[in-house]
Amino acid sequence: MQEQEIIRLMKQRDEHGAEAFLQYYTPLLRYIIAPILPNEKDQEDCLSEISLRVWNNIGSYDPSRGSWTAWLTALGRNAALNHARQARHTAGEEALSDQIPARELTPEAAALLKEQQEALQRALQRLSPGEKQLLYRKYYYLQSTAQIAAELGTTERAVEGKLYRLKKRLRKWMGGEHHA
Amino acid sequence: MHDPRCTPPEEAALEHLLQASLPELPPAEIAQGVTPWRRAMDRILWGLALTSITLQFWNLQYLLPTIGLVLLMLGFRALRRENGWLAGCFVLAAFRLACTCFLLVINAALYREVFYALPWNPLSVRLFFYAVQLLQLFCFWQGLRGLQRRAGQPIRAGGAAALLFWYALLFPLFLLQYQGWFGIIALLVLYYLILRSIYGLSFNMEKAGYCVRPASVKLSDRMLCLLLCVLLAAGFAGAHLFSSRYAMDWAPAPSAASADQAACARLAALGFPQRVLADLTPEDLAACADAEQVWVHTSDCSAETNELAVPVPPKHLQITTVAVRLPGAEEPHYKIFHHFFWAGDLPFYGTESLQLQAMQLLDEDRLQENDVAGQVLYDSSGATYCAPYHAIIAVDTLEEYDPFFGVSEIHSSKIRAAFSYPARSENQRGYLTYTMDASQCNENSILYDWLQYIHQNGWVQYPVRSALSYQAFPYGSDGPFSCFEDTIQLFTNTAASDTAS
Repeated sequence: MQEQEIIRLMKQRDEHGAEAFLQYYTPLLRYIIAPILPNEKDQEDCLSEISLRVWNNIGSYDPSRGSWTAWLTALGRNAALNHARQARHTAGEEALSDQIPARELTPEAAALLKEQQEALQRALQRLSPGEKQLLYRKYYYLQSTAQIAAELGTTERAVEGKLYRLKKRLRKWMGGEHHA
Repeated sequence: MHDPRCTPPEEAALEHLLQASLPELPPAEIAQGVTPWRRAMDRILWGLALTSITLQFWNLQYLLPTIGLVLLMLGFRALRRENGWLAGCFVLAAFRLACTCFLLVINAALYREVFYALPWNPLSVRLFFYAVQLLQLFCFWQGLRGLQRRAGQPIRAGGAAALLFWYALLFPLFLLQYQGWFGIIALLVLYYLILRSIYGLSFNMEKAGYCVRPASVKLSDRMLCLLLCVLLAAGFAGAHLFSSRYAMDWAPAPSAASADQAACARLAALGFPQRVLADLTPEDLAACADAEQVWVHTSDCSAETNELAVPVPPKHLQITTVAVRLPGAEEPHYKIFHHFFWAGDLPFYGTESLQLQAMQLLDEDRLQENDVAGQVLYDSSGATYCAPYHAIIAVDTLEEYDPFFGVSEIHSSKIRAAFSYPARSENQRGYLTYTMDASQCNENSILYDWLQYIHQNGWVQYPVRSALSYQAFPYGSDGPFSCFEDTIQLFTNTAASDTAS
């Protein structure tokens, strides 16, 4: 069944659409959440949650904002991150890093963070498609270096080297953005 | 005051920033590209396309299939742990690539002609490799079905099955070697269907591919390709260094003092050129001891244009034809010498060959290898070295002429002799000789023969051919080969004996 047909059926609340969605898109969702939730039971719980969210929020899917695959992967990733945070909360408080900004920011810190995010966005635009994909794999989809290396047909050391050089360039671009 | 905006974030802060600041919805091309299978599948599809279609120009028939096999191997390498069928595809791809690389290196060596002349049926070899390719396509079809089964997807690997089917249809067309328009159209239609099937395969994998777990590698794809290029380059270099000239049995030439001086003096008095005389073997010299008459014809061909040149340029090939009439029991016979000499040294040290065609009007007396003799010589550091030809072979041809002139067919014997000179040699020269029996001819007959000298003038050629295997064009050059020609016509009428070319 084609992608458009599945979306149409789900918007019409047709259960055939839901069945087709589960059949065709479970492998994709499992692929997205596996790096965040290594435990298989957590994955199954999360998948059920994602299926429900897709069913309930199918009306909010807007093709003009992004592709169906992008929407699904974003939804799956966020659901897996929430699931992981809840699991950490139930296990105990997570340790705070002195390099990660505290949740409660001063107005100055908030403004600085906003500028840094804008600088980062501008720097990301200067990257090639392959470099962007590498960053997304590592920092958006939270894939391990081993997984990235296997899927790109290279070694872990090569991936680490590329990421190191990419971050160095980003820091250089961000550091020079406001140079007088 | 220090502006914090000029300070780049620390490493950990940058990583946190990246995790928090990447756009909520990834760009479509990123979402499409982050898959475990797309890279491997794209390589497999391109590999299938490049190995399915052969273009017979610019050496693309070697380059494209090699690139295709590399892509196939890299693609299947990533999927080799998914199931046994895909592991089989990887093994077969590696096997095909190894065989192809072996043949690529063989084609860069002079002795490829020996390799291809080995006693195996060329059709059986082609059939074997064709069967391997079909087996690989079958394994790919089954491997794809296995992937879809594991992903819980409906089994829809029709693209791979169609590819297998179309490819199976190709071979009968190849076996029939049909030359007409129907065959060409059928081939083009099949190729289009093959490419369409390959394109359809990517959709078969669209959903099932997310359950793929590519195998980790110790050598990256880039390093593997680099290694392959290095091995091929080493193979080509080795083939050029160790197999670009014929192996010759050089030995110091006998001194001039040991020659039959009386025979030399007699022949010189009859007009036999001294330069040619000095290069004859004692046996050939002795065969001409009772010479009655000598005819000589010389032509100088420019080394650059292959054509007769007047005035003679410094670098040229001089071909001297000498016909010696010898007494016979009933009728005289002729000993013909074709001598060549490179003035100004050889332009390129590769392979050389002579092709001698003696035209006779009878069914009998065709030239055989043992009817022809000769040697090649060169000078180095004041010493002269000589060697027999690397190979002398006889080729018989039959040419039919118009019966109006009373001649229904002419048998001609072509003798081909192959040789090479070592680098840094000087005064390269040599000769071929044979005896022409004119006992059956009448007094107005013309005996003529035709000599072609084929010289390799460059090493840039692929696949490598020797001068011996080259099909010469008269007075021309074709890429790495140049052809020089000379003919003689000998009137057997004793009142009008002369040579004309």
